[in-house]
Amino acid sequence: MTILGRLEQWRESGAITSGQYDAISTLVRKDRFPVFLELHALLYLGVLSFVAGTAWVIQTYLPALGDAAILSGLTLLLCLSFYYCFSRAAPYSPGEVESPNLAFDYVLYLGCLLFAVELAYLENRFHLMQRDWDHYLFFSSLLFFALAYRFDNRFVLSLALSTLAGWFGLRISRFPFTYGQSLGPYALAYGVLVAGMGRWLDRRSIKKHFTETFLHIASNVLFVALISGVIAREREWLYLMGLLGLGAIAIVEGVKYRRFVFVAYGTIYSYIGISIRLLGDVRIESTTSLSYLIISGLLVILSMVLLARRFGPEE
Amino acid sequence: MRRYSADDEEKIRAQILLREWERSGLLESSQSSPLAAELRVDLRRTNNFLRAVLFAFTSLIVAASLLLIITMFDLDDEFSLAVTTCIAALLCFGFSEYLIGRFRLYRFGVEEALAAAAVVLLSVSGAAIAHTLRSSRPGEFPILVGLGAGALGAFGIYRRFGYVYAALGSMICAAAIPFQISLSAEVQRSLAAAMLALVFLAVRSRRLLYVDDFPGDEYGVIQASAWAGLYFVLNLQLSSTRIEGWFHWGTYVMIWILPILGLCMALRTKDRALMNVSLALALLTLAANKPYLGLSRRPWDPILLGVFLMAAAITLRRWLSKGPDGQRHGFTPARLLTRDSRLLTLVSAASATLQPEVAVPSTAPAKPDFDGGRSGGAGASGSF
Repeated sequence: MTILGRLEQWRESGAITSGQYDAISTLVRKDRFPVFLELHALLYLGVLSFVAGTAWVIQTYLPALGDAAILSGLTLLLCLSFYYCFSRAAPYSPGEVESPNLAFDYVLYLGCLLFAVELAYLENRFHLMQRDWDHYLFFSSLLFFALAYRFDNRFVLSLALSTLAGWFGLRISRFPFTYGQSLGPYALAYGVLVAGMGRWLDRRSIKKHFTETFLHIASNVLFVALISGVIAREREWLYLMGLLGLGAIAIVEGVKYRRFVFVAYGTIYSYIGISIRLLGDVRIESTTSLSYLIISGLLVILSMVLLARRFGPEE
Repeated sequence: MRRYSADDEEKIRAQILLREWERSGLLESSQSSPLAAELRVDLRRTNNFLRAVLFAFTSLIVAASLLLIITMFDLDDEFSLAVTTCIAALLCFGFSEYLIGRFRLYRFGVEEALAAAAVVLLSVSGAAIAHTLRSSRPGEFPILVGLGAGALGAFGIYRRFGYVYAALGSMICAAAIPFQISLSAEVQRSLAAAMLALVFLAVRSRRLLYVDDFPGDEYGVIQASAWAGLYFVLNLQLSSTRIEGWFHWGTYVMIWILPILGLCMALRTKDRALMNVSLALALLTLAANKPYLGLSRRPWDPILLGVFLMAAAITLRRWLSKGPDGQRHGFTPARLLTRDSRLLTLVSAASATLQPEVAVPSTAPAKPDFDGGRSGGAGASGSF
């Protein structure tokens, strides 16, 4: 039976009202066809392309354009972007706030990215902060956090988190599989800080819908940092215990709040950590390794099946 | 032929829509509960994250088991490998059938991984057999046979279980076959394009017949993928192959025609998959235009593209929302379902890994070595 056929049946049986039938059948028949996501995708790609082009133009034509032209151009664009946002924004609310229009979020995102370009240009040309140039990253991330919360913008929040990671010396863009030995403690500190911030703001009911973004980034950084510690073979048991503890928390909390992506993180990262530790000195094609992979894999599947049976297809 | 009944497939799709309508406020939860009960099927399903974990670990077990048998019994010559992988393929397929029959699994990860493994193993077996038959001329023949077996096997899996990704795998294997035959690059690409165009035409009529109802949704994805494949085969800038002359200019015309034609077809029938694929292809064409014409890219090109995209989005939104009831020809810029918001949330969170790398002071004194990278939107590894 087609979806429209079912809808008609439900209306005739009184399961849904005529108004509901009209609203839903309009969507099913595609008499109303939203292009909301496509328009957002065009704007997002447009902003990224514009900023990348701006950086390229500056790099290529720096001698021809001169500092004054570049700085005044960037400042003008920056001011226009922020003026647009501050003049059109709805008042601050700790809850979720709808953007006043389609372009609003992207104008703010563009402004933040241009701010980053301008700051980098200033330091590159004039070395204002000398050896402490990385403080730009810290102050930029504070500004981006403030703007993300003021204007309820998840793109700027992600920018703030990745900029803060930069201050810690970490790379989130082109996510690494491991952090070097000296980066491990910084990655752990960053992960704990971000997870803590997310939970603290969540408990205070400040932009609760941002919490998941914090947790996704924090958990991935923490897991990768702990796995790096296991690979580095210095206090590896400590790192492994940490990894298993975090994996258990991710699985328990993921099940509790029905966020199964965290269950997946907890399972896969923990498995990788244990396997690296146990198979570190054994050849992967050896009978021991292969037997371990089969038995451990079966155990994981069994536990996942038991979990999956409890929850069904809900997400 | 299908392992699952059409009625079950339809009910599962209706369940998904029902949940979406409830989330979007089109139905009360008190209304949707009895309707969901009416749509209940006796199939065991799970959510996509657990499904992915189950798929990954089942694949790991299959690979480890096969390697263990090969290692334990020293089955590393071509013939033994062919026989072992063939038997393993049959076992995987049989076990997949058993799990579905016994436990009524549906998109549960385990049975899918087994079916997918059966195709991969069949393909390896085919290639190994071909290698033993033509051991004096190992060349491209084994790969050809492997791809052929893969294409047929994956198509069979799609027909049996309805895994759309198997249909796409089959299409990719089939389109790769001409590239394994000693032909000129022009003929290879023409044959692959003809194959993909045939798939598109064959699926399109079915897609138009069923629209979004089962199995029209599957045909929609296959059709859009065939269209994208056709484009990728014809866009010479996406590969390192150098082809000059009429074929070069013919493909140049095609990379403009395909996105426009695709978009026209998609807009007429409001086909989202084809529309989004055509939009992405149009962007690729804009990016490939200058290299095609032998012109060098300019630093301001991305700025122009960015302004164009932003202006197009804003103009389109204004034009659509100024129509009667905030829509024109049925197209509306409004968000009607919460699914769109959830997707946007996902993209914005993922954007942390996609920040454009804008700058880092190249001449500033170095900080202590952290053997990692500075990153993020406000500072990265590029330099002025």
